[in-house]
Order: sequence, then C-alpha cells, then structure tokens
Amino acid sequence: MQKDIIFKKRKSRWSGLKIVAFILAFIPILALSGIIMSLVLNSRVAIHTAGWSLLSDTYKPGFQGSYGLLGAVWGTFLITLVAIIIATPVSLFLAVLANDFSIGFLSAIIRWTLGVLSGIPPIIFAAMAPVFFELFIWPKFAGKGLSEPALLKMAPYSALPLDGSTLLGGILLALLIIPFLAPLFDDAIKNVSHTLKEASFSLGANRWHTLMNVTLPSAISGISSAIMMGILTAMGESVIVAFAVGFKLDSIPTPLFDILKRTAPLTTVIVGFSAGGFTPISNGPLLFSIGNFAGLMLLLVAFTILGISTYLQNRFKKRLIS
Amino acid sequence: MKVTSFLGLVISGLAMIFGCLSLATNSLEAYPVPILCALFLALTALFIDIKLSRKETKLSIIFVAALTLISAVILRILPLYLHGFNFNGVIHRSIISAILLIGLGVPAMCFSLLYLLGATPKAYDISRYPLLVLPICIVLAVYAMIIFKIIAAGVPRLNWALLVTPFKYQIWDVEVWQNGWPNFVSKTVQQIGLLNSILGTFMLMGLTALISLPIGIGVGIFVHQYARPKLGGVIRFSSTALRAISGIILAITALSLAHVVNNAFHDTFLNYLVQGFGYYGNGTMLTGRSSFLFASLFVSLLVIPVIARSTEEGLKSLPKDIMEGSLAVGASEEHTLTHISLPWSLPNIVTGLVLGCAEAAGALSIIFLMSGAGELGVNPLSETTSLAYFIFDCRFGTQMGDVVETYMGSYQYTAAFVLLVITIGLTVAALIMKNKLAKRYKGA
Repeated sequence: MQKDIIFKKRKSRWSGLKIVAFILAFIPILALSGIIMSLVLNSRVAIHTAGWSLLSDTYKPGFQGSYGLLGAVWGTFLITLVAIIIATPVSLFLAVLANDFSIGFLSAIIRWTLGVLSGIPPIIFAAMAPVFFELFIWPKFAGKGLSEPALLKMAPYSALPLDGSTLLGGILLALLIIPFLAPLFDDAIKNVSHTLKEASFSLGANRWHTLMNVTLPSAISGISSAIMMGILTAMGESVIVAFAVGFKLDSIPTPLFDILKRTAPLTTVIVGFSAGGFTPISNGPLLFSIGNFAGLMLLLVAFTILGISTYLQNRFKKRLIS
Repeated sequence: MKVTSFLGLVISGLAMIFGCLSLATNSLEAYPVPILCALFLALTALFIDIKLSRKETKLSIIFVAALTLISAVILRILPLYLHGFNFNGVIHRSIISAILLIGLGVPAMCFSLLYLLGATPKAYDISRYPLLVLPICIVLAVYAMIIFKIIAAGVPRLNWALLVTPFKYQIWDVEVWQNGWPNFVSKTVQQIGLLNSILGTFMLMGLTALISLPIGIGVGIFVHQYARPKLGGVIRFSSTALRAISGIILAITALSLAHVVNNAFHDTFLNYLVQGFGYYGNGTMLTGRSSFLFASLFVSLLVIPVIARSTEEGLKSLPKDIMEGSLAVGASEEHTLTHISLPWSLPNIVTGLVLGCAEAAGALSIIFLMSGAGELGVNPLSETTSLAYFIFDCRFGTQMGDVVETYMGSYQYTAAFVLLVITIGLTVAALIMKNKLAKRYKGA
C-alpha cells in the first residue's frame, strides 16, 4: 500500500522508458481488435449470402444453400462436456492430495509431476488418438469379435464406432487440461485462509470434514473460475480435435448425447471451411467467410466465459481481502 | 471386527483391481459377478459385526451392500453386447462391470479401512485415501502409457544420422551434353532426416522470443508501474484474452492477412516475405505458405501474455525495503526501475521466456495452416516448419499433397520423442527456476 502512495500520487513524467512501455503495452489491444475486425470483415459475405440459415441445423451446400452451424456448436458443447467431466474430479483430487491430505513429499511429487506433464504439447496427445482407439474405444464400443454372427445381426456395420468420435476427443482433451487445471485448483485451495481451517480443527473436525465443509466452500469461486479457464482451453483446442474427430460439419446427432459419433466442433469446422480441411486447395470465398463467421461465434462464447471467469476471480480477491 | 473388516478390505481391493483391469481388457467377464457377491457377503458380515460389537446400526454399509447385490444381478442378466436407442456403437459389458466394480469397491474399501483402524477421527481421514488416489492412479497410468508408447516406438528408430540429415525430396531436369547434343536428365535428391524440423522448431522459438520479449516486458512494466487501474485492467484483459481465445482464430486471421498481402502486393518482396521462399537445386525459386517471420509474429501473440504476467509478478515481488532504500538515497523513479526493479525481476522474466519457448515449440494450432515440409532450407525467410508440424504431416501429409507421409510416416514417434525431450526439458528448467525464486529474500 505504501508503495502505491509513493508512486501513484505523484504524476510521473513522460520519460523515454514510459513512452516505449506505453507503445508496447498497446500491442495486445491492437492485436485483439485487429483479430476481431478481421473476423467481422471476413464474415460479411457469409451473412449476406447465407443469412439466418447460418444458425439452423441443416447443411446443404450449393446455390442458395443452407450452411447451418448448429451441429458444430453442439459438437463444441459435447466435447467440452466430456473433457470437463473427466478432468475436473481428477484435478480436484490432485489438488486436495497436494494440500490437506499430503504425507511427506507427496505434495512436492504431485506438483513436479504436474509441472512436467504440463510440458507435453497437444500434438503428442493428438498423435496418440489411433492408439487410444485401438486400445480402448474399439474393444469397448465395438466388441472384440466383429465376425460374431450374433453381434452382426444385432447391429449393422454402420453402427460400429468410427476411428474418430467425440468420446475419443474428449478423453484426449481431458488429458491435456488436467495438468492445466490442477495447479489452478491447487492455488484456489492453498489461498483459503488458515484461520478458517484452524477454527474448524479446533472445534474437533477432522481433515475430511474440514475439507468438505470449510475449505472447498471457501475456495468455490477460485475453483469455478479455474473450471471456466479449463472450458476455454478445451473449447479452443483444434489439433487434438482434428486428429480425433475430424473436420466434416454434421447435423446434431440423434440421440442428442451420442458421443460415439463424429460431431465436429467449431474449431475444426473453421479449419474445414477456411483452409479446406488440410488440403492445399482453397475452398472459395463463401466457405472461407463461413469459417470466419464460425470463428466469430467461438470468439463470442470465449469472451462470455472469460468475462464470467474474471468476475469470479475479482469476487474471490475481494473475499480474500475482507 | 478386525477379521470382517480385513476380509472386506481384501475383497474390495480385488474388486478395484479387477475394475481397473476390465477397463483395459475385455476377457475378464467371468469374474465381476462372483466378486460382487463376495463383496456383498463381506459387507453384510461387517454390518452384523458392527451391530453386535459396537451396538451401532450403520445404514450406509447395508445400503452399499444392497447396491452390490443389485448390480451383481444386473450384470448376470445383461448380454455381452448392448445396442439400442440408435446409439452409434455397441457397448461391451466389461465397461459397465468396470464402472460397477470401481464405484462399489471404493466405498466398500473406505468402510473396511475405517473399521480396521478402529473408527477414530484419524482413521476416518485415512479411509478417504482410496477415493482420492484411485482416479489419480488411473490417469497417471494413462500418461505413463503415452510416454512409454512414444519411447518404445520412437527410440529404436532414433540414430545420429537421422538427427543431422535434413529431409529432402526434389526432382528437377538437368541439362547434360552427350555426343555434342543437349539432353535433359531427371535428377532426384532424396534424403530422410529430421534436421530441418528440429532447426525449424528452434528457429520458431528464437524468433518468437525475439519478438515477444520486448513487448512482454513493456506490457508488464506499463501495467505494473504506469497504468491507471482501468487502463491496466483493459490491457491485462486483452492479453489474457489473446491466450484464452482459440489458436485457430489467430490462424485464420493470419490466413486472411496473407490473402490480403497476396492480392495487394503480388510478386513483390513483401509478398515473398510473408509467404516465405527457397531455392531448388537448379536455382528455381519456390514460394511457400508462410515464412518463419510471419508465423512467429502470430505465435508470439500467445507468448506475450506469459512474459507480461511473469514480468508483472517479478516487479510485484520486489521487497518494499529495497525500493524504499533506493528512493531514500535520491534515485529517480526511472533509475529505480532500470537499476533495481528490472534486475530483480530478471529471473522471473527468464522463467516466463522459457515457458513461452516451450509453448512456441508445441504451438501447432497457429502454424498448421501455414507450414510446409521445409525442404528448402531453414532461415527466417523460408517456409515455416517444426517438429510438431512434422508429426502432423506424418498423418495428413498425403491430404496436404506432400511426400512426408510416404517417406517418413513411420518416424512420427521418433519426432514426437524429440519434441517431448525439447518441451519437457524447457518446462523442467522453468520449474527449477521457479523453485529457486520461491526461496528468495522476501523483505523484512
């Protein structure tokens, strides 16, 4: 506080360093506004041509066709849901084990392991998609004996899982975000004030009851803002999804929660439209523009979640101070 | 009570082990039902034992026991393969039995552990460990499997020649004079190696560091030292947002920018600067999809927030007494910043830079729309390539129209291993620096 009084009360002069820092500090703002402007300008063609049909569920390319992106939005929701459902409990358990339930060097070991695992880039998990399919998805969701006559009579071949599915992508995304989420949870739990915990212990509660009734409720805003950041990471990842799900825009699956189908999320639909789905051939201005519109949708969702997360963090800080 | 709770511990441990195993294999379908029946008997025995010796009625134990019996009956009735509701797959029974075995084995083990240790408050804490540890063990086993797979499939193919040879595949016509007449002979250069990918990774890292270091430090200094709270909040929000929005959004922005440059400045040096160029063996110039310089401009947008945040943290961590000492002897604010605060936060900045480099090495989502195989040399103006892109090319190379998949598809795990060594090495270095920083003087 003292430092703030010394510096902030006196108006600092415009020295060379300040001018340079001022100019450099505006680069992130400029970059962000440039990105938003590029997305808006490039999606004009899509809005002109396709109009409201962009928000429908049917995808029929062609003259006066319909380019509904609702399937991609649902795909993003599904894959993020799977990833968060797998990653949140595991990360929370890791954070709890590193704080209140630590024995000896356990917390140091957990923090180092998480640090090392956070260095694994997404492409490694993406390259593992065929291995996961071979070891887990195929035996569990197709049965071992494809040639078994009873099985073939029960399910047509088309019902067997493809080598890419929302479940596979969700599992790999969960592996990506666990080392990212667990340190955030760890911070949230570590920052709960000791007086609260000690009051609970002095009343005779054991560690588990203190955790469930004092620590986790006090850390809830930190934990929920961490989950928001995890959702953002899972939502924006495109490499793993490209390997594990694919690019083709599809309509909403019919059972709604069919996670064994390829329901490409927004990120790969953007790649498929804007860059031709990893082919050197460009798709033409209309599809490029639709890709940009999908990017705009993704950006809006990301900003909403980021806003909620920032709000929660500020509340968290206020509570800590008071 | 010791005997029954020990029995419960053994059987629930067995249930958990078989649950984990049936996640991995399909051939254990004979065992779940007997194990669940044994678990039911053990839990009932534990319940009766507690009732007789402690005169307590533990309804939760009998509830879990009832669930065990019900799930044993369900597993007995279910067919081996389930299909219905137009679901896009055939569910094998083993996944249901794994869920039931783990889901019932964990509470059973908690109860048995609690009563084996005498049902004290401390025993209550210890009895919660299986619940916390089991999911973590499963996930860590998956990570271990991934790393083992990469080492097992990648290391045997790794050799020194692979690391020092660049990948080359070029065909061109050469004019040869035979018997006084010109004759054109097709010449092929073909080499297998990872050198250009590795060099490309380092080139991307270096250029990104060069671009993002001054900007990141500037942002950190401005937000900490000069900005009013509102402006600082806006700058901080936008730099967080750059990291939080998807990399693919940055990628399509880069793509549209490259389109604009290509349309406006066709066949000028600026266009070559953006697209990247290289020379064939016979001197033909070839343009690529994007140069290292252009790609690292966008990758650095991901790294700037990391460096800015670590700079800010370093400036914040400067003990008040050191700064007050500097001000007390008459140093100006500027002088304090350049001579006291920045040297103090240098280790933080280096940590942020190292983490940012690791990020740049693995940042594929930005560069995969604008990279190539990088066979025409690696310099700041040539076509972008990196190890991460090489791994990606091993899967999608034929779609992309290049020959990497055909000639080097089997080396993807080797490339993954090299990439893993680079990124994990950088991350561990950053971790060590962070641990050193935590032990630093924090002020009187």
